[in-house]
Amino acid sequence: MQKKLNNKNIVKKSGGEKVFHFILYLLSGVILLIVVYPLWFVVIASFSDPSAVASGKVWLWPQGFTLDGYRELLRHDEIWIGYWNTILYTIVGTLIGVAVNVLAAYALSRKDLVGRRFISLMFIFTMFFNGGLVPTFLTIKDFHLYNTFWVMVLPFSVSVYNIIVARTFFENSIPSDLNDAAKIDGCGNLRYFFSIVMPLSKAVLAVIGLWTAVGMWNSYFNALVYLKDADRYPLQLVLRNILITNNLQMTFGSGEAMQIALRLSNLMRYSVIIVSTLPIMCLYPFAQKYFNKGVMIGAVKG
Amino acid sequence: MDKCKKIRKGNLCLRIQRNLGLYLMLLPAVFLLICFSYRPMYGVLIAFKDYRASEGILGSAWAEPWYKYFQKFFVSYQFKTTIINTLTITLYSLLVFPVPIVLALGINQMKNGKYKKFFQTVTYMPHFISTVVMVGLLTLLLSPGSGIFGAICNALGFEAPNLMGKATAFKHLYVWSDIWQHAGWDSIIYLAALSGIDPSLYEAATVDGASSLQKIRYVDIPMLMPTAVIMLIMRAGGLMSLGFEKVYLMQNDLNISASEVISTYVYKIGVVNTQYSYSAAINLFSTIVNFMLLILVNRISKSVGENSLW
Amino acid sequence: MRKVTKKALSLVLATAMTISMAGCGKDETEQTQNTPSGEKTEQAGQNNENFNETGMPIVNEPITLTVLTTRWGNMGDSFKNNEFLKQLEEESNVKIEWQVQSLNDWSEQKGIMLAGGELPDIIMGFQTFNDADIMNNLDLFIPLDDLVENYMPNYKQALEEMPDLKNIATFPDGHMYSMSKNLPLRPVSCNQPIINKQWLDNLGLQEPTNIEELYNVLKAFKEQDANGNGDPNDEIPISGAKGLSMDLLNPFGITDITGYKLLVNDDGTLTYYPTSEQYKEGIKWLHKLYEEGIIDAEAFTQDDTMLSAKRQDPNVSRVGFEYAWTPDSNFGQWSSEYEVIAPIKGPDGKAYTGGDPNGVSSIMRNEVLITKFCEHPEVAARWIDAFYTGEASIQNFWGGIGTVITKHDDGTYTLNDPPEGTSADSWYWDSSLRDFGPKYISKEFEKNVILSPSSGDGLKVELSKIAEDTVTTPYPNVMFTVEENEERPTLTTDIDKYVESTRALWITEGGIDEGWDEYIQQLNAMGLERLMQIYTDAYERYIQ
Repeated sequence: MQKKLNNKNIVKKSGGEKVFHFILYLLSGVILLIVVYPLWFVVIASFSDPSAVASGKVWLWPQGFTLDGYRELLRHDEIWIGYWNTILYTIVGTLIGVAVNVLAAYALSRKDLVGRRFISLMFIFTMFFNGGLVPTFLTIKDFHLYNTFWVMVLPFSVSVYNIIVARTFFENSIPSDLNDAAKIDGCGNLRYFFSIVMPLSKAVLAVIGLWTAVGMWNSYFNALVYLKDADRYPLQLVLRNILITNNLQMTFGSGEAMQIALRLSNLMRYSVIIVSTLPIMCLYPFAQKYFNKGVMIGAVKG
Repeated sequence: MDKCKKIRKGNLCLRIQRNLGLYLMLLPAVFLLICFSYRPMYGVLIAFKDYRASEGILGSAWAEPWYKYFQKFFVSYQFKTTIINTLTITLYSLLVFPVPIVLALGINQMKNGKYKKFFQTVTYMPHFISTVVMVGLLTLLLSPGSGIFGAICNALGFEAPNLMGKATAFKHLYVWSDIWQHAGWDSIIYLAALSGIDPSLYEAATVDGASSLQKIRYVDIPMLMPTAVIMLIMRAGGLMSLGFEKVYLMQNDLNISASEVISTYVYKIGVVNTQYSYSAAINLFSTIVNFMLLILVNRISKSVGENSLW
Repeated sequence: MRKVTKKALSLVLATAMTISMAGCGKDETEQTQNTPSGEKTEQAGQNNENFNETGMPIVNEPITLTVLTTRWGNMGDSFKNNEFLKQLEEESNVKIEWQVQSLNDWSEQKGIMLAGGELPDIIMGFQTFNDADIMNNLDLFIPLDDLVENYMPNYKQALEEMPDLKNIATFPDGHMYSMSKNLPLRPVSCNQPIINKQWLDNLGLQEPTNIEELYNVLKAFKEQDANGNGDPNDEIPISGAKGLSMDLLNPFGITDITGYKLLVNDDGTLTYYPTSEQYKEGIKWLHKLYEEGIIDAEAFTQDDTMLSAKRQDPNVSRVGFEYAWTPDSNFGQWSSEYEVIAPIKGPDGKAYTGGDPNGVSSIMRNEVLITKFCEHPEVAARWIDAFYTGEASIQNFWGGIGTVITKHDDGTYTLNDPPEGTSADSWYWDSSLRDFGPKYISKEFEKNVILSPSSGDGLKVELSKIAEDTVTTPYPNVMFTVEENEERPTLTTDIDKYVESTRALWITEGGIDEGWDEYIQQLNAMGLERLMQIYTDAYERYIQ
């Protein structure tokens, strides 16, 4: 009897399952095409004549194939300094950021933390209310961080958003039985965190690490405000200075120089994206490794 | 009575002592926040003063009356329009909030490892395209004369409307182009959450005869709820803050009635003449509204489920 | 284990507290520490041995001054190699440390610089700090009247020869806080009508002289194959990016080079043109053009890039008519097909052109300021004064003598051709401060500068002549008071936006007659009368 039932169930399942998976792959294929289009466009546009691009002639293939977009961009030597700086800032900034935020997130995830609500509120408050650019600038100056390496990786490394997300992970993914078991074994908070919680939290570490790294890689505003020496500039700021970003100024520069600059800017705007984001886009596959199922197998028995 | 108090106090001290390791873990973040978020917090006062850069924030005179700049905003012609436009777009964005979740659920179901990886990678990449380029691309695609949209309409036999010039189309264009660009990236967090689900749950479900759809409904979704709810609450705390850059780039004279939002208004006021106090007042007002919304939504969430921000 | 944690915790806490305390107490008191007068008299006393009141060098022992200047976009700091600047440094013994800022994100950085409690010695460039910035922070800058009187003979003479330089730089309290500049050989007309001559020839048409003829020509452009490629449909007679240029309304008497939307009437009153009858007529005309497809349907939605692509289409010229500075600034490889024509006559039979009878943007204030942080203001004054000679000024507008300029034995100056592959304008920007910084060229000296009439700046002077008699009087470069500067932005943001959005609606869909009364009412409700009062007050103050 049981065998018969099982067979029926399996047959029913595979029919419905097949349909489900068929629709899944079909839909995902459509989504893939729609979403990949801007990417594809940016790639072919970076190899195309800018007039052709802007007049809508570039759809599927490069038109007026040219390497000028890249050639013009790579003429600027300061890009390499920018690259180096950004790599440094990103590595150090991510290490610091992940450490600071994940530690705080774990502590806040513990229901037995005295003052938990108050401290959480204190963190969340800063997400909304801040003093503004000028007082923050003066504070950075007072701490002698202006125009230093550390201003890029330390003062703004706390991200309450990341802390909250990580905290949610810890609250829901680490069963409290583990904590009880550890306590019985006489394990202190710190040791418990490092030797038991961390190995189980690879997914959240990967996500926070990824977000922090991307944030650091894309940042330019802090550099704009807090760095003076051009040889400390991160890549995004260098690129921003190369492209003319503020179109309001166009009305004043009546001369040819501005028109030429506009043309160059149009020429480079696509190759800039490729050059500046290719490295960081490659980071995700590494983080992806940690999104594996079964991370928790065997952690809790029974 | 005294004995009870002593015991309770003793308990408290004991609990704090046990938490010392946790406090140590909190220390770096707390220290940084005190130094770089709380110490400059006096800057909030700019909204209540007639700020002059040379006098500094503390040295500048108080505005007469203290709510002068807030009042200026409330009576201004733009008050209603900018707020309505801002909220329309943010609430609409909130409605399409489940899209990245659905995407993550779908990806999670993919059996073919190679395709799954490829799909994930491609969908998150558009996130890195700069706003300027994205809006430029959008304008180009929707151009009745030069774009794909125009070509399709012509092929179907009717004249393409100029969507970028229609105020009614603005919010749709804004929200859906956001989804287009960012849904993949936003789904990462949900994928990570899904990866933490104990496989034994799936096994149990299979034994019970559950189909894939049912597994999604009874295993995946409940497990995603805490993360989803927290993300939603935080979104609610951003309802009054719509980023400036993309709206500004998509704005034009024909759609301005729908595209003037708080952030672009503040930008225009600030560009001609750096009116720090006025723009600070508007920002502070938005922030306070945001914060109150957050408290409200959080309270609702707490009473409905167990998820809350504090 | 726990004991260790406890000790570590208390140690770290203690350190944390001390460090955060160290940051406190400094905050803004730093700003009040700088008292200019006390320092100045002290330093002045010390300087007397080092400082020479006349002649070169300015100081015996080298002194370094910091100078801040802003530049457009990514123009860089190559101007530092300018021959005049180098020579001046050698002769005067005043070393300059340049701080060059891009105007890209200047508004944020400006605020920080003003609040940061420290400015460089000298500020150059009218885009660096505007009237409001200076007036709101007046105590960061020093009044220059005495310095000009005692140490700046060149500038003093300039002020006598051209009193306007002083008029526009006098701040509400009666003192000069900045110095002005006057540019050489400026054209009188601003934007002029430019038409594709090739298309006219292809269709056998004459250049239009009034709006009826213009309409017919544009219609022909639209309907026939004007660019000769076999396709009668790809011509765009008039286009725009995020709106239409209001220069198209020049024939109706509407000119506006300042952006304030003001017309100065013969009797000295002001008209806000968006509420005038001429505007109504003009918009109706534009609507007619739009309906017939003469105006690009995407003029209000496409961006600069897309417009530029149409103007410079790689295959064939596509845009027929527009108002611009010169024909070669916008059309790339098709520039030679375009020509400036005489101003178009409007319904009243007269033509009008936007411009300035004294030369467009020829005089500007806020070109140089000396901050209170400068320890040697007399040295700075004398250094700046060196810029105010004719020869210095032309070198700071085009480039040094030897590379960009050639000085001839008969006392005349000509401009050399730019190097291969560089445009003249870019070359001038690379070689000099160009639009920014102190300059003065007397009418006498101007006669010695010979510009080629076929390219660059000289070309524009030539082209401008055809429209010279039709140039209207522009609203002057007035200075508003601090209160007026606070009120204006809110008024203009609302009003300008309303004007522009109704304009867009009326041009694309029509209905200006029906909507006119409500429009005026709405403008008044937004405070138009108050805005006009501000403009009138400032104008009257200026005239006196």
